[in-house]
Amino acid sequence: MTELCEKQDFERVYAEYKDKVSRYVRGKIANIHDAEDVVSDVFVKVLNRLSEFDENKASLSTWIYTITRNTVTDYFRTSKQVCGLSEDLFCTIGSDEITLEEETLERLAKALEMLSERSRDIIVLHYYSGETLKSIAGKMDISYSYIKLLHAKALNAMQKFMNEG
Amino acid sequence: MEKTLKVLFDFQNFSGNPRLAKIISETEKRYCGTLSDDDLKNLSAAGEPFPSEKTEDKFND
Repeated sequence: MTELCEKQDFERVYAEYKDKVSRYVRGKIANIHDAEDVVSDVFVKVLNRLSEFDENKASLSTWIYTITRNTVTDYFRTSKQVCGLSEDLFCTIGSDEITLEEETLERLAKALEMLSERSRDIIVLHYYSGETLKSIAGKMDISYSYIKLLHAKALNAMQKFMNEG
Repeated sequence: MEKTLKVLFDFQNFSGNPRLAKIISETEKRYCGTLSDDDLKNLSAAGEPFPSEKTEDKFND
Protein backbone atom coordinates (compact mmCIF):
# COMPACT_ATOMS: atom_id res chain seq x y z
CA MET A 1 0.00 0.00 0.00
CA THR A 2 1.43 3.38 -0.93
CA GLU A 3 2.00 6.06 1.67
CA LEU A 4 -0.71 8.20 0.04
CA CYS A 5 -3.27 5.38 0.24
CA GLU A 6 -2.42 4.77 3.89
CA LYS A 7 -2.81 8.47 4.67
CA GLN A 8 -6.18 8.62 2.91
CA ASP A 9 -7.32 5.47 4.70
CA PHE A 10 -6.30 6.90 8.04
CA GLU A 11 -8.05 10.20 7.35
CA ARG A 12 -11.22 8.34 6.46
CA VAL A 13 -11.00 6.22 9.61
CA TYR A 14 -10.25 9.27 11.74
CA ALA A 15 -13.23 11.16 10.35
CA GLU A 16 -15.51 8.19 10.90
CA TYR A 17 -14.41 7.23 14.41
CA LYS A 18 -13.20 10.39 16.11
CA ASP A 19 -16.59 11.15 17.69
CA LYS A 20 -17.09 7.57 18.87
CA VAL A 21 -13.62 7.35 20.39
CA SER A 22 -13.96 10.78 22.02
CA ARG A 23 -17.38 9.98 23.46
CA TYR A 24 -16.16 6.66 24.88
CA VAL A 25 -12.99 8.14 26.38
CA ARG A 26 -14.81 11.16 27.85
CA GLY A 27 -17.23 8.76 29.49
CA LYS A 28 -14.35 7.06 31.32
CA ILE A 29 -11.90 9.90 31.99
CA ALA A 30 -13.19 13.00 33.76
CA ASN A 31 -10.15 15.19 33.15
CA ILE A 32 -10.65 16.83 29.75
CA HIS A 33 -6.94 17.23 29.00
CA ASP A 34 -6.15 13.64 29.91
CA ALA A 35 -9.08 12.47 27.82
CA GLU A 36 -7.81 14.43 24.81
CA ASP A 37 -4.35 12.93 25.27
CA VAL A 38 -5.82 9.43 25.39
CA VAL A 39 -7.87 10.08 22.23
CA SER A 40 -4.69 11.22 20.50
CA ASP A 41 -2.86 8.11 21.71
CA VAL A 42 -5.62 5.94 20.28
CA PHE A 43 -5.32 7.44 16.83
CA VAL A 44 -1.53 7.29 16.89
CA LYS A 45 -1.88 3.55 17.49
CA VAL A 46 -4.51 3.27 14.76
CA LEU A 47 -2.20 5.09 12.34
CA ASN A 48 0.76 2.90 13.23
CA ARG A 49 -1.20 -0.34 12.97
CA LEU A 50 -3.66 0.37 10.18
CA SER A 51 -1.59 -1.50 7.62
CA GLU A 52 -1.72 -4.58 9.87
CA PHE A 53 -5.51 -4.53 10.29
CA ASP A 54 -7.10 -7.74 9.05
CA GLU A 55 -10.81 -7.48 8.34
CA ASN A 56 -11.08 -11.26 8.40
CA LYS A 57 -10.33 -11.26 12.11
CA ALA A 58 -12.59 -8.43 13.25
CA SER A 59 -14.55 -5.49 11.94
CA LEU A 60 -12.86 -2.09 11.88
CA SER A 61 -15.25 -0.89 14.57
CA THR A 62 -14.33 -3.74 16.90
CA TRP A 63 -10.63 -3.25 16.21
CA ILE A 64 -10.71 0.46 17.01
CA TYR A 65 -12.90 -0.15 20.07
CA THR A 66 -10.34 -2.65 21.35
CA ILE A 67 -7.48 -0.20 20.87
CA THR A 68 -9.53 2.51 22.59
CA ARG A 69 -10.48 0.34 25.53
CA ASN A 70 -6.89 -0.91 26.01
CA THR A 71 -5.52 2.65 25.84
CA VAL A 72 -8.00 3.75 28.54
CA THR A 73 -6.96 0.75 30.64
CA ASP A 74 -3.30 1.70 30.27
CA TYR A 75 -4.13 5.26 31.31
CA PHE A 76 -5.70 4.10 34.57
CA ARG A 77 -2.96 1.61 35.28
CA THR A 78 -0.24 4.20 34.83
CA SER A 79 -2.10 6.95 36.67
CA LYS A 80 -3.20 4.51 39.42
CA GLN A 81 -6.67 6.00 39.51
CA VAL A 82 -9.81 4.10 40.23
CA CYS A 83 -12.00 4.10 37.17
CA GLY A 84 -14.97 2.49 38.80
CA LEU A 85 -14.96 -0.40 36.41
CA SER A 86 -14.44 -3.96 37.44
CA GLU A 87 -11.11 -5.58 36.60
CA ASP A 88 -13.19 -8.37 35.13
CA LEU A 89 -14.34 -6.05 32.36
CA PHE A 90 -10.79 -5.56 31.19
CA CYS A 91 -9.82 -9.17 31.64
CA THR A 92 -12.60 -10.75 29.70
CA ILE A 93 -13.07 -8.42 26.76
CA GLY A 94 -11.65 -10.02 23.70
CA SER A 95 -12.93 -13.38 24.80
CA ASP A 96 -13.98 -15.63 21.98
CA GLU A 97 -17.39 -15.94 23.64
CA ILE A 98 -18.49 -12.48 22.64
CA THR A 99 -18.67 -11.04 19.15
CA LEU A 100 -18.49 -7.28 19.40
CA GLU A 101 -20.45 -6.25 16.37
CA GLU A 102 -23.33 -3.91 15.62
CA GLU A 103 -25.46 -7.00 15.05
CA THR A 104 -24.80 -8.21 18.58
CA LEU A 105 -25.95 -4.86 19.95
CA GLU A 106 -29.12 -5.18 17.86
CA ARG A 107 -29.75 -8.61 19.38
CA LEU A 108 -29.16 -7.19 22.83
CA ALA A 109 -31.71 -4.46 22.11
CA LYS A 110 -34.24 -7.08 20.95
CA ALA A 111 -33.57 -9.19 24.03
CA LEU A 112 -34.20 -6.17 26.25
CA GLU A 113 -37.36 -5.23 24.37
CA MET A 114 -38.92 -8.60 25.07
CA LEU A 115 -38.54 -8.08 28.84
CA SER A 116 -41.06 -6.26 30.99
CA GLU A 117 -40.29 -2.58 31.50
CA ARG A 118 -39.24 -3.18 35.08
CA SER A 119 -36.92 -6.09 34.24
CA ARG A 120 -35.45 -4.08 31.36
CA ASP A 121 -34.78 -1.18 33.70
CA ILE A 122 -33.06 -3.49 36.18
CA ILE A 123 -30.70 -4.76 33.49
CA VAL A 124 -29.91 -1.29 32.14
CA LEU A 125 -29.43 0.27 35.58
CA HIS A 126 -27.22 -2.60 36.75
CA TYR A 127 -25.09 -3.29 33.67
CA TYR A 128 -25.03 0.06 31.90
CA SER A 129 -25.38 2.58 34.73
CA GLY A 130 -23.41 0.41 37.17
CA GLU A 131 -25.94 0.56 40.01
CA THR A 132 -26.06 -2.17 42.60
CA LEU A 133 -29.19 -4.31 42.84
CA LYS A 134 -29.70 -2.96 46.34
CA SER A 135 -29.68 0.60 45.04
CA ILE A 136 -32.07 -0.33 42.24
CA ALA A 137 -34.42 -1.99 44.73
CA GLY A 138 -34.48 1.28 46.66
CA LYS A 139 -35.27 3.31 43.57
CA MET A 140 -38.01 0.92 42.46
CA ASP A 141 -39.36 0.63 45.98
CA ILE A 142 -39.33 -3.15 45.96
CA SER A 143 -37.50 -5.61 48.18
CA TYR A 144 -33.91 -6.59 47.53
CA SER A 145 -34.83 -10.28 47.42
CA TYR A 146 -37.49 -9.60 44.77
CA ILE A 147 -35.04 -7.56 42.68
CA LYS A 148 -32.59 -10.45 42.78
CA LEU A 149 -35.35 -12.78 41.57
CA LEU A 150 -36.39 -10.44 38.74
CA HIS A 151 -32.73 -9.98 37.80
CA ALA A 152 -32.09 -13.73 37.65
CA LYS A 153 -35.22 -14.31 35.55
CA ALA A 154 -34.27 -11.51 33.17
CA LEU A 155 -30.75 -12.90 32.72
CA ASN A 156 -32.17 -16.35 32.05
CA ALA A 157 -34.61 -15.07 29.43
CA MET A 158 -31.94 -12.95 27.74
CA GLN A 159 -29.42 -15.78 27.70
CA LYS A 160 -31.94 -18.06 25.95
CA PHE A 161 -32.73 -15.39 23.39
CA MET A 162 -29.09 -14.48 22.71
CA ASN A 163 -28.08 -18.12 22.37
CA GLU A 164 -30.83 -18.84 19.87
CA GLY A 165 -28.68 -16.91 17.40
CA MET B 1 -24.21 -13.80 30.82
CA GLU B 2 -23.36 -11.06 33.33
CA LYS B 3 -19.91 -10.51 31.90
CA THR B 4 -21.37 -10.57 28.40
CA LEU B 5 -23.80 -7.80 29.31
CA LYS B 6 -21.02 -5.69 30.88
CA VAL B 7 -18.91 -6.07 27.76
CA LEU B 8 -21.79 -5.34 25.38
CA PHE B 9 -22.93 -2.26 27.29
CA ASP B 10 -19.34 -1.02 27.34
CA PHE B 11 -19.17 -1.56 23.59
CA GLN B 12 -22.44 0.36 23.32
CA ASN B 13 -20.65 3.35 24.92
CA PHE B 14 -18.36 3.25 21.90
CA SER B 15 -20.67 2.15 19.12
CA GLY B 16 -23.82 4.10 20.06
CA ASN B 17 -26.37 1.69 18.55
CA PRO B 18 -29.51 3.88 18.24
CA ARG B 19 -31.99 1.17 19.19
CA LEU B 20 -30.10 0.36 22.36
CA ALA B 21 -29.50 4.05 23.06
CA LYS B 22 -33.28 4.63 23.01
CA ILE B 23 -33.86 1.83 25.51
CA ILE B 24 -31.14 3.19 27.79
CA SER B 25 -32.45 6.73 27.48
CA GLU B 26 -35.98 5.66 28.46
CA THR B 27 -34.68 3.90 31.56
CA GLU B 28 -32.51 6.86 32.53
CA LYS B 29 -35.47 9.22 32.15
CA ARG B 30 -37.48 7.10 34.54
CA TYR B 31 -34.74 6.82 37.15
CA CYS B 32 -32.27 9.62 36.52
CA GLY B 33 -32.00 11.79 39.58
CA THR B 34 -33.75 9.27 41.77
CA LEU B 35 -31.69 8.45 44.84
CA SER B 36 -32.04 5.22 46.71
CA ASP B 37 -31.77 5.03 50.53
CA ASP B 38 -28.20 3.79 50.10
CA ASP B 39 -27.32 6.79 47.95
CA LEU B 40 -28.86 9.15 50.49
CA LYS B 41 -26.67 7.72 53.25
CA ASN B 42 -23.65 9.29 51.55
CA LEU B 43 -25.12 12.77 51.52
CA SER B 44 -25.59 15.36 54.24
CA ALA B 45 -28.85 17.21 54.73
CA ALA B 46 -27.52 19.92 52.43
CA GLY B 47 -27.06 17.37 49.68
CA GLU B 48 -23.27 17.41 49.86
CA PRO B 49 -20.96 14.45 50.32
CA PHE B 50 -20.10 13.84 53.95
CA PRO B 51 -17.52 16.28 55.47
CA SER B 52 -15.09 13.41 56.17
CA GLU B 53 -14.59 13.06 52.41
CA LYS B 54 -13.76 16.77 52.10
CA THR B 55 -11.29 16.55 55.04
CA GLU B 56 -9.55 13.64 53.35
CA ASP B 57 -9.07 15.73 50.21
CA LYS B 58 -7.12 18.38 52.15
CA PHE B 59 -4.33 15.92 52.86
CA ASN B 60 -3.98 14.73 49.29
CA ASP B 61 -1.62 17.57 48.23
